[in-house]
Parts: sequence; structure tokens; C-alpha cells
Amino acid sequence: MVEFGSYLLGGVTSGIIYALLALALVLIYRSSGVVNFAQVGQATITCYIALTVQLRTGSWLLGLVTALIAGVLLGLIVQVFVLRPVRRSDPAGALIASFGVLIALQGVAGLVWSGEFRAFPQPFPDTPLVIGGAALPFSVYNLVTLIAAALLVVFLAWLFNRTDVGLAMRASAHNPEVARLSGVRVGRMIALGWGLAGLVGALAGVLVAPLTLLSPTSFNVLLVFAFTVAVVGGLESPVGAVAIGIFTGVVLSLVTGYTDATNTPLVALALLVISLILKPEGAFGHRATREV
Amino acid sequence: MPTNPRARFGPVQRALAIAAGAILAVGVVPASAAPAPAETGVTDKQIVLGSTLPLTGIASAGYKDLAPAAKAYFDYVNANGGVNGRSIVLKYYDDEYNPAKTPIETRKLINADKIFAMFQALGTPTHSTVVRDLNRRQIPDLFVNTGYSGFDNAATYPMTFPLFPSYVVEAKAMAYFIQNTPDLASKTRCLFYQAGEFGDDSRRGFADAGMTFATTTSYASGQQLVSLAPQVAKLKAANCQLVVFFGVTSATARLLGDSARGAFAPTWLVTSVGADYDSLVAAGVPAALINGVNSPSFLPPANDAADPYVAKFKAILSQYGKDVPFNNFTLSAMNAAYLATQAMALTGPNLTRAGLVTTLNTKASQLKSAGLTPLVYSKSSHQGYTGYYLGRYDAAGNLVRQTDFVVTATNGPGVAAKSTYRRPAAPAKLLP
Amino acid sequence: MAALFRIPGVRLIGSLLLVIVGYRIVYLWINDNVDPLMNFWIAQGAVYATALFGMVILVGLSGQVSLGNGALMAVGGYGFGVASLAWGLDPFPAVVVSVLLGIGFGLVVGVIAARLRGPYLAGLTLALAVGLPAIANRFPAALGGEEGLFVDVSYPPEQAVTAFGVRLWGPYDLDFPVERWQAWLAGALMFATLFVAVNLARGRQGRIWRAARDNPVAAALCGVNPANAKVLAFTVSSAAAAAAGAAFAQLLGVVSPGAFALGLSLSLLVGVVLGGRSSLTGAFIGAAILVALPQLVVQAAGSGGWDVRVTDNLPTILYGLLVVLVVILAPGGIVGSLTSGWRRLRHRG
Repeated sequence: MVEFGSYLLGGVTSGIIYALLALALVLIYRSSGVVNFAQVGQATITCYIALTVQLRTGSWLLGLVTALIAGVLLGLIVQVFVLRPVRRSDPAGALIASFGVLIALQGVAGLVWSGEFRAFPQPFPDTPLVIGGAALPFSVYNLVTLIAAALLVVFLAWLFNRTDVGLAMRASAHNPEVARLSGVRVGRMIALGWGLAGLVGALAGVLVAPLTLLSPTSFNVLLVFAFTVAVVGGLESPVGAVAIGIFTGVVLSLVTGYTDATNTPLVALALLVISLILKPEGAFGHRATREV
Repeated sequence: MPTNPRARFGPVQRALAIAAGAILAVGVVPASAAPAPAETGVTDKQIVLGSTLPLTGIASAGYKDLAPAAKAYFDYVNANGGVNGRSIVLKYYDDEYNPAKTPIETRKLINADKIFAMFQALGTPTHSTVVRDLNRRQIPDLFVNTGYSGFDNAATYPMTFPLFPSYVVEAKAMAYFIQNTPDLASKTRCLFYQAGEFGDDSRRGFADAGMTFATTTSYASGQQLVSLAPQVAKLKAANCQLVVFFGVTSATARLLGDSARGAFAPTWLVTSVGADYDSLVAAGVPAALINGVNSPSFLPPANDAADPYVAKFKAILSQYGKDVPFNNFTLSAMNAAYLATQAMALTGPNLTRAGLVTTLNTKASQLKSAGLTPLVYSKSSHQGYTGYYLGRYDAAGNLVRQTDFVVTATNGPGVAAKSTYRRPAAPAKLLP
Repeated sequence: MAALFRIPGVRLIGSLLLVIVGYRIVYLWINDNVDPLMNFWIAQGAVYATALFGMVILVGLSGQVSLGNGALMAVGGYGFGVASLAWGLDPFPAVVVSVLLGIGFGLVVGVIAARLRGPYLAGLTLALAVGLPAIANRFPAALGGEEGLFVDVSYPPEQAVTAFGVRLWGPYDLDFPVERWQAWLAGALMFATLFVAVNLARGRQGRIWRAARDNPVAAALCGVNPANAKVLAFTVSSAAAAAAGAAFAQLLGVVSPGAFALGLSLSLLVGVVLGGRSSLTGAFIGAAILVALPQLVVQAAGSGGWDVRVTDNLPTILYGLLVVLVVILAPGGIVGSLTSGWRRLRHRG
């Protein structure tokens, strides 16, 4: 039982990481209808910017704020200069263009900040949580990221379901022509979505970076997990991203704990395949109306 | 007129288009039939060596400086008369640690740069793609940069000379140190390794040494960038008091960090490959977590200014290696360059590939280096360095020797044994 | 002429002649007249082209975007490796085994994939691209683990090559460059795949694929089952990828998880989009780009005498920007742009 609890918490700590990055992918898909590979590249750049600001000023908060601003700007730049010209042709082009941006951004990160692994400080000295005198395999910072993920989900749910702007963003992504006819300024809404996704991506990056190792390409591995998690959860569902992210982390942790880590790719693939057979639109997705 | 635009391409046009495409794509270059020189890659003026290593990408951290550091040493040699009047040129390409790229870059070295020998090609999966080809072409394959035992195979790979003691030898040495250090021997032992050559080799070495573990776990390369928390949970649940870790430095960093967050604080015994202090600190591991980490080594640490080899290599790098940091990685690369230079010099003015291999097989004991354990090459064994001493990091980040002796072992069956080897005194200029 | 090629018998014989002439006369002539390094690049290009034919059918004709064809290549590569090492098959029967394996695997994945919308399919194939090669680590005894299987079965100087007991080539003397040999083999597979692809893409099946892609409802009304068309496209592309994987295995001399990593899958997508996604000719151009572009950008970056950090990273930046630029400026790929440019010229004149 102690074992199980330990594996469970170990899984939650890694699951939050998938969940946070999956959230950013979901946000962009929801507000513009494309999957943005460059997201992790943008997050990498903003993390480096935050790191640089932190090292100069000694302030974690200032670093975070700079990263968020940079995240919004980068999102807008990528949307306006890359995805907007491509968008119309087809999703494959958009996907590949965003992949091109990812590669270029990684090159820029390597050029400016070098390829070494860098430490990304966390806002406070971290210690394991203690409950009833026993130190848990789960730290205060792990708890902070978990709460942040939960708050983000609530915020996004409120934004998309309860605000006019959110509704306009969803309409712009889902059916631009109809949205335009209803008076929605589609271009502006999509740009807003990208800016917002850039913000969430930057926040996710800054939160995750202290838990992992920062290098120009280290978020790539996370991209694959995050994308898979987003797909299983349903690309339009923030709740799905977080729930499936943590679920995946826990399952893979249990597999590692009770069997061996070499089984995790097999189990992860099996989870994905089974989930897509049962729910082709994702576990938390809605079945799309048949296009005629 | 066909209405479908695509249908305009008939078979003849298609054939022409394909042929034209192929010719355009590849650019026809006539096969050259130049007269064969005395030896490929050796002229009166220079010797061309080649290397592949990750200069970019996930594996480039630490390793990207290796070739520039070796080049700095070669430049130092060239500035001091070269090898029998020839200067050494090191060509190196970025393979991104991608086994699909290594053959491409190696073919460039062989066919376009016409190298005399390979020098310190990096990585097991990467070098595996070219090792047979290099041997078949009888190109010396010097000092492969990996601890994988599989390249020590003088019968199958007579041209290939690994340099570092293998993970098998390291596991045997670790077993020796654990058994002979009371405060390590009494602890509940666990083994944690990276799936692949680390795991294969280390488990073989421990099995040969008769060492068992309370629990064993692994991670896949790249997983350290996601999370090692599940593995930490497993090690903690098994109440491990001594964790033997075989993995790369980034994974060690992650392991130490995730363990601290997970309230897990065993004694660590980490492979030399994964315990570079500077890299760990740069990757964000607080010095307090590294304090007390045990790690075997066969070279003096780069921050040991009292070691004459280290001091001289550092001076050379600061003069010839612009912007190349001096650390354990670059020290080891310069040391390998020093060995290669001596071997080529010993082969004599008539430098041939076969001659170089003979020199290494017969005169390895004459080669001087910073290595603290014997260097073994013969017609039947291409082991390289053969053993380890045990070190432990102190609070200031110095790897303090815990044993004033080294233990050696072979890649074959058998256990590690204490050695009486003493490194020869360092020549003043570290020139051949 | 073009109309003639639409008649099934003519197309079959015509395309057969095309690949025989293309391979035996043009391709092998080039092989004999270039240096070993160029032959290695040709062989590499042939491997890419083989896989890209499958991508043209999958992405271009049937409209399914795959990020995982590198993993399908791994299926072929490992099939080839196991067939030649564990079962001791000659290279040619081993290729047959790996293509059969590719067909079987493609069928299974294709059935799942046919139900998925674009980004979900991308997610599935991306996971395959990462997860499938990693399975080799789980079965190190059979699949060689991280170091891989050494599938070094076809070096001409050392052994004659036989197919089903008939000696085809060799043995050759030691001066015969192995690169030329590898280019021959990779080329043979490329032309064989081209033959199949041409006959599928330009015949009835090609029209079915396009119809199911452009308007599934109308296609269904005409008696076409869009799901079946998608599954067939996936299967064909998987077979082509498996053939490419086998060729890649003999080119590398080893099949290992790292050789079939995510980067390979993404390269294939880049190649098919840049070349022109619904054109088999575009596959050749895509393959040439995949081979040449990294070398060109490295050369361009290395010629400035810049700092190491610049020369290390500039190729990456250039490559990424070029991908973006081509997608923006030539959304139909290079073949698409040339075709539309040519059409515009003709209309003006």
C-alpha cells in the first residue's frame, strides 16, 4: 500500500508536466483549429528569456512576467508571419510550417544560449511535503504546479464557455465563414487565441522548467507526450488534457514500479490505440457532426 | 487535349523527368582515378583525422566541446613541429547523436576528406552503424568515445581501439569497492540503469562479480527529460540505501533532483560517465546534493590543478582553444589526442594505417597519458584503459580519491583485482 | 500519349518499360559514373524516394497526414533484419518478408486510422513514430536493443548475391565500392515501388482515392467506400515504407531504434510537402531535397568563418526557415508550383 501510494504520487508529478504542456496545445487548437508544434519551441525561448532576466535581476517574478509578455508576442509573431499565410492551404501545410518554426527556434536557442543543459531556478527552495510526520514523494513545488494546472483549467473553461470573447474564438476556429457573417472579427480572434496560447505555453514552460532540464531541444520529448495526451483527452478539452495527463503519468508510474520502465512505451501506445478505437474524438471530446 | 492536367505526363515525359530529376538531384561527378598515394590521408605536410560527434541536439551538452578541445591539442602539436614534420588536421562533423546521420557524415570523412584514421567518434548506437565498414576498409578507428564493451573485439574489429574502460569493467570495479568498503557493503543495494548498453554492460559486470541487488529499475534514454519520479518512487519503496546508477549526466541531474523532491536520500554510486560535477551544477543540481556522491574514475579530475598532466592540458587549451571550456570532458579529449599523437609519432616517418595499428597493438605500454590505470592493446585485446579508482565528491565539488590504488578487470569473465600500477611521470611539454 | 497511358494494359507495360529503362539504363549508368560518396547520397535519396511514394499516396491522394512513416520504415527494417539474421534468408526474400510485414502492419493501423480526423491521426502516428522503435528496447534478445541488429548481409566483395537460389551479382573484388552496390539495391527497390505506385495512383484506384478525399459523401453515393479507400492507402504506404526500411537497413548496416527516430518521420513529411504532395515526380524532388538540403545548409553556415556556436546552430535555423518559406511560397510543393507556373505561362502565350 505504501508502494502504491508512492508510485501514485510519483506518477502525478510527471503527469502534471504532460498536462501543463498539453493545455497549451489544446488552447491553440481550440482557438485556431491547428496543432502547433512550434509551441514547445516558443516555450523554450520564453524560458530562456525568463532565465536571463532572472539572472540579471535576481527576481523570479520579473522573469515570469517577461516570459509571459514574450510568450504572447512570440505567439502573435508566429501566427501573423507563418501560420496566417499558410493556414488556408491545408492542415498538413500548417503542421509542417509549425514544425519548421520549431526547428528554427531551437537553432536560435542554441545560438543565443548554447546547447548545454541549464538550471532553471524555482521561486522558492523546495522541500518534500510532510503529512503526519512522514515525508511524501511529492514536494511543495509539485503541489504548486498541480494547483496552477487546476486554476488554468478553470480559467479556460470560464473563458470559452462563459465569455463573449471565448465564444467568438471558438466560432472563429470552428467555422470562420459563419463567424465572419455573424460579425466576429475572425482574424483578430485567431490572433488573440495565439497570443493567449503563447501566454499559457510560456507559463507552462516556466512552471515545468525547474522540474526538468532546460536545453534548446529538451522540450521535444515533452511535446510528444503532451500531444498524445491532448489527443487522448480530446484536442478541444482542457479538462481532458489535465485529467488524461495525470492519468497517463500515474499509469506509466505504476508500470515502472510494478514491472519495468522498458514496458512504458508499449503501455503508452496501447493506451492511445485503445482510447482512439473506443473514442476517436478523444475521451473528453465531442463527436463532430458529420461533414457533408 | 486531355482535360486532367496531371495526365499530360506520359511515360516518355515521365522517364525524361525522372532521369532529369535524378541527374539534377545528384549532379553527375565522374569517378576519379587518381594515382594511389603512399597512404590515404597522409601527405608530406599533413595527416587528416576525422570524427563524428553531436554538436547540436539533445546529446550535445558537454560533448560538443570534445573535438574543438582535441583540435586545440593538435594545433599545439602542429605549432611545435607536428608529427615527424606533418601537421595534424582534425575534420569533424555533427551527427546529432543520430544513428541515421552517422554513416552519412562518416562517408564524407572517408570519401571526401580522405581521412587517415577516425578519432574519438562518439556514441554506441551511432558508431555501431559504421564500425564494420571502417574495419572492412581497414581505416584505424582510434579511441571510440564510449564505455560500451562491444567495440573491444580485436578479432572482429581489428582496426577499432576503444579507450575508456568499459561499463563492464566499471561495474566490476564498483562491486570491488562496495565489497571492500564496510559502510557501502552493509547497505541495501539497488541498481538503476539506462536501457541499452549501460544496462547490458553493467548487469554483466555485476553478475560476473557475483553482486546482487534488492531491486533493479531502468529508464529509456530521453526519459530523464520527462521525469524520473516513477523510478525514484520505486527505489524509495524498496528502501534502497545505496543506489548504483548507470546513466548519462543529464539523467543523474534529474535523478538527484527528483530524489530530493521525493524525500529520497540514499548513498549514490554513479558511473563516471554520469558524474561530471560541472555539468551537474550547470544542470541545476545544488552542490549539497552532489556532496558525498561516489563515482569511480580513471583520469584525474579536471579541477585537480596539482596533477601535472591536468595543469599542462589546461594551459594548452587556454592558449589554443578559444572559448573551449576546460572540464573533465575536454581533458579526456585532449588526453586522447595526446595518445593518438604519440602513436602516430612512434609509427615513424613512413606512417601507414597498418603501421599505426601495429604500434598500438605492440607499444601501448610506451604511451604516456593522464590515465591512472594501465592501457592495454594487443593483437588479441583492444580493451583500452583497464580500471578505476573510487572517488567521492566533497562539499567543494572536488572528487576526492577514496582509494590510493586502482582496481583493474577485463571485459571477459572474472572479477576486479587491486593493481600496483603507477602512472609514469608527465613529460614537461606533453609532446610526442 | 497520355490518354493511352490510362488504358490499363498499356499503363502496366508502359510503366514496366519505364522502370526497366529508368533503372537499368539511366540509374545504373549514373551509378557507374559517379564517385562513392555521390553513390551513397543517391542510395540515401532512393531510400527516401521509396518511402515518399507511399507518402504521396497516403498524404497526397488519400489526404491522411502521417507523422509516423519513419516508424513504418522501422517495421520494414526490423522485418528485414530478423528475416536475414534469425531466419538466414537472402536479401531479396528478406525484402519480401519485410514488405509483407509492412502490409500487415499497415492494414491494422490503417483500420484504426481511417476513423480518425486529421489532428487525431497526426497524434496516433506521432505516438507510433516515437513508441514503435522504442519497443526494440523491450525485446533486446530478438531485436538487439539500443545497439540494434547488424544486418550486414549484402556486401558484394565478400559474397555473391542470390535471389531464390539464382545468382544475380558478385562476388566482386575488393575495389568495388560498397556505396555503388548499396545504390544499386536501394535503386532496385525504389523502381519496383515506383512501378506499383504509378499503376495504383494513375489508374482507377487513384481516382477512388481522390474522390474519397475530396468528397467522401459523393464518393459513397457512387459506390466507393471511403473508409476502405483510406485503409488501402495506409496499407500501400506502409508497404512502401517497409521496402524503404529494408533498403535503409542495408544502407546503414544496422537497424536500431535511434536510426528510425521521430526525426526520420518528420523528414518524410517535410519531403512530401516540399516536393509536391500529390505527385510521384515530387517524391523524387522531395528525396533530393532531404539529401541535399542538410549538406547545403551546413556548407553555407560553415563558409563564413564564424564562431563555433554560429556554425553549429545556423544549419538548424536555415533548415527550419527554408521549410517555412517553401510551405508559404509554394504550398503545392515544388512540383505544384512548377506545374501551375507552366500553366500560367502557357495561358499567357
